[in-house]
Amino acid sequence: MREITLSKAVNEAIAEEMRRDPAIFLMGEDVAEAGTPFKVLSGLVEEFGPNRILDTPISEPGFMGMAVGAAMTGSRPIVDLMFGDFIFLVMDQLCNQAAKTHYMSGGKLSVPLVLRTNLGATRRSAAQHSQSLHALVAHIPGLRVAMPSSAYEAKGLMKTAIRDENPVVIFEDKLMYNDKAPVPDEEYLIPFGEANILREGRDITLIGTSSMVQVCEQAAEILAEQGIEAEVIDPRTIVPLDEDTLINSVKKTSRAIVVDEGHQSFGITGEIASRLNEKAFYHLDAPVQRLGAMDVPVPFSPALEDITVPTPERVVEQALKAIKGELFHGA
Amino acid sequence: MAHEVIMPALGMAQDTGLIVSWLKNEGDKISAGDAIMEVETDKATMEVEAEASGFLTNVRAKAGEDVPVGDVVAYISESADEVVEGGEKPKAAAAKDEPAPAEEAPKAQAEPAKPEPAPAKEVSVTPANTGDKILASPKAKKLAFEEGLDIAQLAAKGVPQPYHVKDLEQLRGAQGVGTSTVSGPQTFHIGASVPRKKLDAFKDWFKTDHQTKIENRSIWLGFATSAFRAVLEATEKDVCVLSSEAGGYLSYLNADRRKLVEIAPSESNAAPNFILRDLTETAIDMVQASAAVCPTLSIARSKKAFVVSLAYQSDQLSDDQALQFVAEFTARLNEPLRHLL
Amino acid sequence: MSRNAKKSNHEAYVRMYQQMVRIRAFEDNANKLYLAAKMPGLTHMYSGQEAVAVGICEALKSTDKITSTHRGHGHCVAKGADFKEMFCELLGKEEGYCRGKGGSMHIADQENGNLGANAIVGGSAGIATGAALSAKHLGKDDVTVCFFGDGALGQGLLYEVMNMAALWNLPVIYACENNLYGEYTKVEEMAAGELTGRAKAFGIETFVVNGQDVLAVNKLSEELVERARKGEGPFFIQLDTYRYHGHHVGDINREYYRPKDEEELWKTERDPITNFGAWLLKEKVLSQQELDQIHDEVSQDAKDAVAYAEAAKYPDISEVDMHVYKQNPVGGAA
Repeated sequence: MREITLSKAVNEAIAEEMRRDPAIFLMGEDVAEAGTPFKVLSGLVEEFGPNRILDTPISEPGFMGMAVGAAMTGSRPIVDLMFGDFIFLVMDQLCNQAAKTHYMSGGKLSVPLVLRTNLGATRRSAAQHSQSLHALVAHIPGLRVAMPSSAYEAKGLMKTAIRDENPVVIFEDKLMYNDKAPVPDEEYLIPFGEANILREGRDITLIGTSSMVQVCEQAAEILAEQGIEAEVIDPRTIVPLDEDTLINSVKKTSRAIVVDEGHQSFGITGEIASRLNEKAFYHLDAPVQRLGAMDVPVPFSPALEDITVPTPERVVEQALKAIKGELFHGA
Repeated sequence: MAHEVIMPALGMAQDTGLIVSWLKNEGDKISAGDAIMEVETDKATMEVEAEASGFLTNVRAKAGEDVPVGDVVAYISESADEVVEGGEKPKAAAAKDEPAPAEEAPKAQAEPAKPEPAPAKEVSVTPANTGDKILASPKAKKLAFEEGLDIAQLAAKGVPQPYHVKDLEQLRGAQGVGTSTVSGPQTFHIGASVPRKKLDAFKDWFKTDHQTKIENRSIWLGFATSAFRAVLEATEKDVCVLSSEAGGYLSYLNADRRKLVEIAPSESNAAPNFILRDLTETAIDMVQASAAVCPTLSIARSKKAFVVSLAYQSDQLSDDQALQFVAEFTARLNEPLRHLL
Repeated sequence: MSRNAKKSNHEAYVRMYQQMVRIRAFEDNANKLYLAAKMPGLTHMYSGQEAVAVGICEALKSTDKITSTHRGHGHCVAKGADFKEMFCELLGKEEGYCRGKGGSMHIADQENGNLGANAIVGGSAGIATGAALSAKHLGKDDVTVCFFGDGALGQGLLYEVMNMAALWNLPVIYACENNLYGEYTKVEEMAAGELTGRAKAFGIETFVVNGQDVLAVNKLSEELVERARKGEGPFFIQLDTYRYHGHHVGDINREYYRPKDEEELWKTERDPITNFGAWLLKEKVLSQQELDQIHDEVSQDAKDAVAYAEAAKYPDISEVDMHVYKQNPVGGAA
């Protein structure tokens, strides 16, 4: 099978969907000729023209709000938010308007839009261009949240997101844009709410989102050298979350570590750990552990930035603790 | 028709309004727009204007009274002496944000779902445990219970806590052969669980068919007695069960020879063959009882199953007998009809 | 005005009068329901501003869109909504426009092109402009009117979207209802400079009209809607008007920000219904008897709708988690 970059996979997904459905258009800052700073959208304006690949002023709340209105009236907009950090700017339009419209109207109006943005630190971009803020939107009922972990996932999830009747926020890891993976030529979609088991194992479950899936896979390799079989699972979408697959895995392995690049406190890791505690408590042989980004603004200095995010070594360290039955903090 | 004068809802979070004074007297002729009373709300005092013309009548609240918003405080009538019937006396403070009066308000917010009973505490009555909490993983505890292993013995041996599934190995070896490092008779445990479904179905069938309800306790007594008899091959002998109930013990002799609905305590002073504890009405779902006097059979209830546990000592029952006893008993719970016939 | 024009407009005049009376009657009943503690939540009265909503909405087709505000009952009625479903919504009943999930501040009536009221001041500016973008994108000739108050002039979102609307010639009309007060504060204390200056800065054509004169509002709206349909938009209208009640029902003792004699002046001399009624009489479009009949019929309609809504049932509690997400079609997305 051919291998393409995540960037190309996203580009293909959007182009294929735009060919299929003329109601789709894309808007955002420097999305047309510039093709975004990451060049993800290069070539689209040449095919679809400036009316469907729409360069906006630097007005995030404005174009987010317009996408909501367009989605309510028969269009299917894709909003490009250049950096995930800018999600704070669009919060009212995304969370007060897009997320609630279907509910507040008793099901009469709907908002089929996609907000594509990114996450991920270690690009030396400092505190306002490095955050992973998916937990903020996952907290709001009415939004779906997808987190592709490879080029293959990015294409399948993007196509599903575009066809969804609800507002979907899709977070791509900006450090993975050039990562290649096998992607079939034929069309495929990846359904929301179906986790992917990347590696089977009986000793511990490693649950990772986005680029943390790679971290978990690398940790599993290291553990395998020590005779420990780790199961690696990618939930793919955190809303909806495929709880059953996670719970069944933990019932088998009795241990779990949840790895995510959002801040560790009040985030995705805590949410998943909590659900495992509630639903698999009597199958646990060790506390479910969380590994998120440190609770500090992302620092600029490489020496500091690198230690704020989960690494395979830290996952291994925690996994060994769980397997050896060592005491954890506060136990 | 008389026009109602109501205590208006004015503030953002106002439940009642205080009538500071009436600016018109009962029987006064008034015109729409006239100020008729002065009301104090949570923030301020204001004059309430008449919404209709006529005569102020049937004043129901005096100055100085605090009246729930929405209540009728007076009427504006076409004549000064009109009596309005059934103008109900203000009801007790109808909170403003309660959805409307009388009729079917949504129940969800009014009555939050009752909380589930507090999660069952694990009752650990093992003799070796002196009361100090033993740290073990949930899975280790569950497996120990199911296999009849006594985690407390790990502590007694000085194995460092917390215990995990792998630590149970040390117990499996020790207890399997019935040897013990602890002096005195050793208590062993056997656990089993039986889905509630079949027994519930049986009870329903019985109720429809016989127009009588069978108590759980009667089923335990009948089946346990018959199971015990089968194990000991004591066809001709008496089997006596001490049932722990209502704060004391009642003796049941040969409960398996009566119809389920007729099982009743007897005056027998015979030595009990075993003790029965029905915990299905409690929140307890896991027990490791002592077997100081005789074997103890406990039946608890989890969400979908009955959890059976037998505590015994080697001088009371052999391991084989104990296992068979639990197997016979649970087989009856699983197929109640077959064992009755 | 020529006799012929009068004749052809007769029906339109009567309808405008009726619609204004309907809004007033709706609000009087809503106010009573609220004061009687029969209506949950909080609510904002449109009384006094009827000529704005009616003058504009009468220039629109039902496929044209509007976005509305927290003070939105008037827009909803003017765009063709039904009393029964509106009162049911106000009381949180199952038969309400939004099955009781939106309430006074979120009534939406998609069939008549009302994309919904919005409880965030200025919150619908993006939605309205997006609806206009959508019409352009889909090749429809729908026009969108964005209703907002002078208070929304404080929101940055409005300027972002007016900029884009102007850049892309979107068919949207920004209708700024200047009722002189944003919540409990005079507009002069909150908005520096000319109100229309804001839109002019983006090169948007602006207009100021007496918002108490339904004919003036309607005439201007007809022109602008037609021009917007032809791609000459966007436009900005400042409609000077007045709200008779406080910011919300319960905003009493408001003399600290608004004198009683000012309220009196607007109610007695500038009431849009009274004045238009007088004009209809003078021009012999309707007789006093016919005017009275309109009032009586509307009043009875409103009364019946209130009674219906009071007796209607609440939604089943099983609906609480319904409509959080729209079901995707089978064979489509997940």
